[in-house]
Amino acid sequence: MLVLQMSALGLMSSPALAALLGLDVALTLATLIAATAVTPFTASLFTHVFLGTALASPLEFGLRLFLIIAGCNLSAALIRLIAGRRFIEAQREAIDGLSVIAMSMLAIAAMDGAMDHFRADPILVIKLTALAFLLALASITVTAIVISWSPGTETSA
Amino acid sequence: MNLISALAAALTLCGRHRTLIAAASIFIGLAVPPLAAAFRPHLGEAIVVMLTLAFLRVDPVELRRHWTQPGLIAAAMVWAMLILPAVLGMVFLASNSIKRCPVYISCSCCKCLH
Repeated sequence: MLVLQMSALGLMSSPALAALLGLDVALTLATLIAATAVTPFTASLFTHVFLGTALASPLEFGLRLFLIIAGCNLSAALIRLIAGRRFIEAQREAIDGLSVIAMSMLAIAAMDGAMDHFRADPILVIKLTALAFLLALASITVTAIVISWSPGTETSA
Repeated sequence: MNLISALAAALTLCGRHRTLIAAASIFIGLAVPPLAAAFRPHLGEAIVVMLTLAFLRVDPVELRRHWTQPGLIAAAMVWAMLILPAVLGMVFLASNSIKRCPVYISCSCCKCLH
């Protein structure tokens, strides 16, 4: 599961997280769309390298990702068309509110079984939690440094 | 009409306190395991809602502008899709976490996609 986590695209929820943190949602969404195109290949590659077994059909995986992105884009376009651009702009905070409720559902659901694992092997859970925090902080720091040196960075400022 | 206004006001309030609500959700999930179990089958729906709202929130013109200057997107892709997974994979292999990792830290998108 860890291999899938690291090789799958940077979370379908990343645009919502960007909005939550007040970051550039358009850039996050554009990167998510681009990442979706390569995820079936990179996920297969990394699961093969690190687990010795390839992921389920890259084509099927890619099609599923494409359908999710395209379906969400189409739904948003329809809502925008019906409600109107001005209404959407006026309701930005309410949209964020709805988004944070969906994210809360996701965060609450992600904790399913966590306490059982903690009771069964608290040391392992503490170690893995520390590892997750350490890796997250390290990758965020290094990513910030790398991206600040990359071409086109000034356009997103 | 009052109900709709009240609902909109409640959502706006949630939007204003979004970081606090998101952080509190983790502790709610830990404190109320039945709630976490009840929400788990609906992860896919939650992600679809979040992604749709993200598309709705973003100005399409702004989104297209990023495609005309793809340098940053390309850099982010190579970094996030190739370099980071390779480095993390090696760290996990070195710490033997790949075989021992419990499911609870698994990523939600993987859960709903597989």
